Amino acid sequence: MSDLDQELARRLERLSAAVPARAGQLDPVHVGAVAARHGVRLRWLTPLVALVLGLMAFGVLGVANQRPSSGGTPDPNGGPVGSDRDGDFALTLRTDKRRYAVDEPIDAVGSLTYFGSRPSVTIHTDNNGPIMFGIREKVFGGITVGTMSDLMCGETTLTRAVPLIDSFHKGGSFDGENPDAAKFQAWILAKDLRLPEGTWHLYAVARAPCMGGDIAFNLRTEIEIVVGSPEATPGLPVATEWNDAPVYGGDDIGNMTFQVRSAHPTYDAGTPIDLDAWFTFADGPEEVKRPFSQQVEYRITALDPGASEIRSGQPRQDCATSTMASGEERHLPLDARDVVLIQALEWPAASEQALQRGDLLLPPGQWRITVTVRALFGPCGAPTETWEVHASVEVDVLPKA
Amino acid sequence: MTADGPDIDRAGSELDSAFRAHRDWLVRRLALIVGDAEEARDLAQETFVRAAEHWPNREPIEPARWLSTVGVRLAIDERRRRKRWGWLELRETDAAWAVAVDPDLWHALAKLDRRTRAAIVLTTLDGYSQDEVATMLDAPRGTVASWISRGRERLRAELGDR
Repeated sequence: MSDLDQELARRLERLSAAVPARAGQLDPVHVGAVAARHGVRLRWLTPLVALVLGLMAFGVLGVANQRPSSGGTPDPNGGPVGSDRDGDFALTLRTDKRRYAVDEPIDAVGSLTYFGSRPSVTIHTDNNGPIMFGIREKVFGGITVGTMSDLMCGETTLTRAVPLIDSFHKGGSFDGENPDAAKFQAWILAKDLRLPEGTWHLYAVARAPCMGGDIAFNLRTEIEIVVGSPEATPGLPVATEWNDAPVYGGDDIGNMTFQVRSAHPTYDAGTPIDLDAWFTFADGPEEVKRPFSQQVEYRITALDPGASEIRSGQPRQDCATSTMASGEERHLPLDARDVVLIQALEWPAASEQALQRGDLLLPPGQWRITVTVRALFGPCGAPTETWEVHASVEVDVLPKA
Repeated sequence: MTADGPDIDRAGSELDSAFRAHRDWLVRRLALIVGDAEEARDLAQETFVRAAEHWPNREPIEPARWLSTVGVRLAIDERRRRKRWGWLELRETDAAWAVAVDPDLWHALAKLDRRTRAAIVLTTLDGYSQDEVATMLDAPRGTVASWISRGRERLRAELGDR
């Protein structure tokens, strides 16, 4: 240890010891918390923290990426089944039937299966489990249901063709100052899934990797069930402000932060996607103030197994350099020359013409828009250092009525 | 995997022990990183809430490191923090305790970003390796090494000037 380290350690230790750690005791953590660790321990949380957890679920887990429900595919036994596949991995979500009585337990089960060539694979996903669950609509108008991430990762080994099965487990958040907060909390902590009357969209999500893993997939599927009156009309997403919230994707590599935002999760055909992408450099380090050249890639992919490659290309190399102040936001208007991949079932002339104008006009379907930005430092064409961030948003384009 | 019966009791007892053993330590570390003791206590509280939801872990863990990882990630997750409190800098008015003890070091630390402060605190004060800190911060080892190197240079310059 150098003299500086020793001196620094000594002074940091003194500083650390001076922190008034006990001024205001932390709430105790007790044994009972463990028994309900699959629930959400909201009784410790201030209303503000509960709100933050809601935001986290909204952003980190992508629950804002709502797709219009297909209602799932009815299985031979009468219950809806939703499925999604990404490479060698498949996710399904099913319930035993489509209609339930009010307050009847809903038996929703998700399964994740590996279909690749290896005997088994180890996947790295969120610590809360390879399969996370949520409900598109707010329950009782106030509970946002979605599995919370604790920003930790976990490992799971999947044996080829052997599904990992998990039943719907609840997590969620609500405004602790809501007059019905106690009711909301009781609902979340209850073991069974019971819903009030209405049409509900249950979803399952499985994503990898989570730190360090080399196996990647991004799966999401949704089913629709009806609770209560047989007259309840299925198939109509509940119009709430939450459902129409902007959709975000983000990335952060320490010195560089990136966000992609779609103003809406769904669009009508003929309406350009209201997309914004921007990056910032972190505050502090002098290194963020060096000149760099910028490289952008857009990948536009229809989330349909039948989609084929319409266009692929290499990113532009622009040797112009610039600098950015800490915290300054640089927005990236869509430039057709930066679109390096389009995968679609069809790509109408109107979509191409719009693209050339800098608009994203997508045909009906489910779409993933991935944006990559690189900050290249050093000589043009032979950068000595590259910072790269990328993020995606998913949107739905609905056919015209 | 769910713990049941005696396992739950044992796990809860372990968590309780970890909480009592590490809470002050965690608050102190986080205070150096975020620059505000009250915020550090809030972060520590949130860290233990998360621990309660996931304890026991599926793998054997070292509580101090696990808590550090969760707490520090919470502390430096700027996007969440911007949503939560806005962009916070070290505020001298909040740190009379620090100014009273070592104002030069405090002001020098205030000029570093949170990641760099976290990396320096965890390596210098707690003896974690750069590989371990890289894992905690979910950053490449080389990046962490760069933060530490530049941070130390800056601290040396700042402290040498005084």
